[in-house]
This record gives sequence, C-alpha cells and structure tokens, in this order.
Amino acid sequence: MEIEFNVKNTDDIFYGEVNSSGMYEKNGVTDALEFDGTVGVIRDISEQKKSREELVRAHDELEIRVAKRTNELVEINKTLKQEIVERKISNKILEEFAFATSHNLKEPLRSISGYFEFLIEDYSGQLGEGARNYIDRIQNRIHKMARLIDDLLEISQPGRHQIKPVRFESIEIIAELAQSMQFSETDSDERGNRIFCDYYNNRIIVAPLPMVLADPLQIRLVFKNLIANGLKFHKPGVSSIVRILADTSETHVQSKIIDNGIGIEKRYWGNIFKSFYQLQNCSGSGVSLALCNKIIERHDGKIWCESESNIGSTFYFTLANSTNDEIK
Amino acid sequence: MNKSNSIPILLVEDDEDNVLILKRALQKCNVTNPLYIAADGEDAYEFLTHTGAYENSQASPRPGLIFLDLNMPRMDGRELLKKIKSDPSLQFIPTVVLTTSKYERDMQQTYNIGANSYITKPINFQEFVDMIGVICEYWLAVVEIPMY
Repeated sequence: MEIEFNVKNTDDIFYGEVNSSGMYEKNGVTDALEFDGTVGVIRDISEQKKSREELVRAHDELEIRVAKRTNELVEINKTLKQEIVERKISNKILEEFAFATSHNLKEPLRSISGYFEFLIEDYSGQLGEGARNYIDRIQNRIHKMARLIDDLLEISQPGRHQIKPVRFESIEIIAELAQSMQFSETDSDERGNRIFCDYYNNRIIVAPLPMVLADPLQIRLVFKNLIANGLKFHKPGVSSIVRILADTSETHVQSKIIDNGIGIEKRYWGNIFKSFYQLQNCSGSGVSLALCNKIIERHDGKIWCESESNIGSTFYFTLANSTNDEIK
Repeated sequence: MNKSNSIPILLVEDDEDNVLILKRALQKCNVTNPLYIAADGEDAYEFLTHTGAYENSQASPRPGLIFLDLNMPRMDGRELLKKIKSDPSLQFIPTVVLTTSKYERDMQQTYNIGANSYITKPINFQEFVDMIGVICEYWLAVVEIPMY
C-alpha cells in the first residue's frame, strides 16, 4: 500500500510504503484470540517513485521521437520514390531523343557514303591519287561514324527498358560468343574450366558458372563487350587471356571477367562506364562499357572494375541468383 | 531473270537520295524491271488502287514487288503496309521494308502487320547492291505468288 504523506512544517511530499499487521493476544479465560493493536512500518520510497516516473517519461518521449523520425523517413522515402520515377521518365525521354537523332543521322550518312562511291566509279579517271586518298579517308571516317551511330542506337533503343528475365546458363551464351569471335573450344581442365582459343593463341577460360535470372539477350551484350574489352587492351607481344568466374550468394551471382591486359589507373575506374569515355584512341566508340552499365542497372545489379597497371583488370557484375524470384 | 524482267517494281520513298541509290543498285545487279516511284504512303495507295492521280490504270500497273520506306510524310510505311495487307486484291504483293536501323520495335511491328521482309540497309554501297540483287532474284524470279 502506497500513501502520500505531507511532512509537517515543510512543503515536501514524500512517498512511503506502509506495511502493517494486527496483533492478537490469547484471552486467559476464554482461550480466544483478542485484537490487541496494530504495528505499522512506513518506508520512504520517494526516490524509487521519482526514478520510476522519470523512466516512464523518458520512455514516452522516446516513443514520440521515434514516431516523428519514422514519419520523416516515410516522407523522405516518398520523395525519393517520386524522384526515381521522375528520373526514369526523363532518362526515357533522353534516350528516345538520342534514338531518334541517331536514327536520323544514319540516313544522310548512308547517302554521303553512296555518293562518294559513285564519285569513284564515275569519275575515277579524272581523280588524281591525292583525291582518291582523301576519299578513302572520308570513307573511313564515314564507317567509323556509322559504327558510333549503331552503338548509340543500341544504347538508346526504346523498349530495352523492359527486361525479360529467364533462368539460363551463362556458359551457353559465352560459348556461342567465343565461336562468333573466331575462338574454338580446345580443352577443358580437371576443375571443369572450358578453354577457348583463337588463331593468335588468345584464350578465354570459363569456370563452371551458376544459373542466373536475367534477360539473356541483354546479358549476352554485357559478356560480349566485357570479353572484347579484355581481349583488346593487351600488352604488346602478349597473348590475351580472359578468365570468367562467378561467386554465388543466397540472392546474387557475382561474375568476374579477368584479363591480363595493360590495366586501368584507379582514377579512371568510375569514368570508364560513362558514355563516350575513352582512355585511349582506339577503334571503339566509348559506348560499350556504358551499355554494360545500363543493362546491369536495369537488372538491379551492380558493375564495377578493379585493376592494376600492367597486371590486368577485373570487371565484376552482379545479377539475381536463379533461385531469387524477386526480380521485377 | 529473263521471264521476270517485265514485272513492275514500286518504290515508296520520300528521300530523293535513297531513290537514286536504289536505282543505281538495281542497275548494278542488272534488274531492268520497270520501276515506279511513289513519294509517300498516300501516293502509293492511289497508285495501287488506281485512284487520284492514277485513275489511268495503264500508268499504274500492278507491281510484283514493293520496296517500302517506313518514315514518310502524310501516310507512313506502317499505315500503307496495313492497308495493303488488309486489302484482298493487294495482300499478296510482296512488300519489303527498307530501313536504316535495326529497331526491334519497328521490326516486330512491321512483321506483325504483314511485311514480307525487313531489310536494314548497309552503309556500304556494294553490300547494298548484293542485298538488292538477292531480294529481286528471290521475289521476282524464284517464288510464285497468287495474283489475288
């Protein structure tokens, strides 16, 4: 039992705990128990009471703060979702614009190329060697520009947003790609690695790979660009070796494409995935890695690279594990 | 292609350069068939149905092959293709779509509405000549097509 006491002559209130018990005595005549009085003990529990109240107050305050923070987070989340939607829409508009523009650029380029060929065919007798040389150079640039436009069309093609995920074995895609790049399967080793080799003794070595859940047509492009990239930037006089491996976690498959090429300095690791970014003047358009990045992003995966100068580069990308059903 | 070189070809194309390049390609692969040119889908439809400027059917003979551009003013290639393939008197005329880019949506769409072939024109002229030669050989000399 708790009782509030007002201590005399002070304004203080203290809280006490009262324990009382009745006392009885035996009647000498009747032998019955008779009430004799009460004994009570009052204990000051003000301190406990105060700290209990403080605890309750702190708890209530905490709950209010948590609720407030939760509300703020819900709001932030809503804004972020809205921003993602808006960004997706503006990306889509930009891509459609890039697609339409590149489509329109190709038509006149084709006419220009055609007219130069007619010029050579119809007037070759009147053209000096210098003029022929210029026309050859122009034709070369036209073909380079056509490749660039084709890459642009590839990267900005509407409809590529919709991925059609199925479960498939990456090795089937890689084997077909190797063949189309003039590699033939030469061997497999005791660990189940499949080895593809070309005329120049460049090799593609593929470890056993798990099933993935993704759009096979788009992932084919990723492997194609990453393998071609690994083969292309080789050290002078050294055959290229591109190894493909994968690690599996519960939700994801992380593929690794490792080459023995010239490597990429650390400060460029992020930039190489941007459109039209080139580290050196080469026959490419600087779109292939940007395209890989885009495709992996669309699959809700990640792509990145690590590299060491003169040792080689490793490109990583993640895709949903084939047992994961949560992909959109 | 002796028997077949009198079969008219209709080119539906608004771009003069493309007309010139196709003419030259046909020449190069010895396709001497009479070539008619319509500047857009509407013009081509009038040609095929002998209406408008083509009321005289002598001047607009039924083609045995149509080369079709997709993007044109007034009536584009898709709309014309739909009209051709839904008209019982025109539906069997082989219609080959000529375009510059491999746009998957266009490809699917045009095959869905009945295109007989979808061709991406190469930048290189000689490759284009070879392609046109194969198409003409196939549609004008190899296959047999009902009139109606």
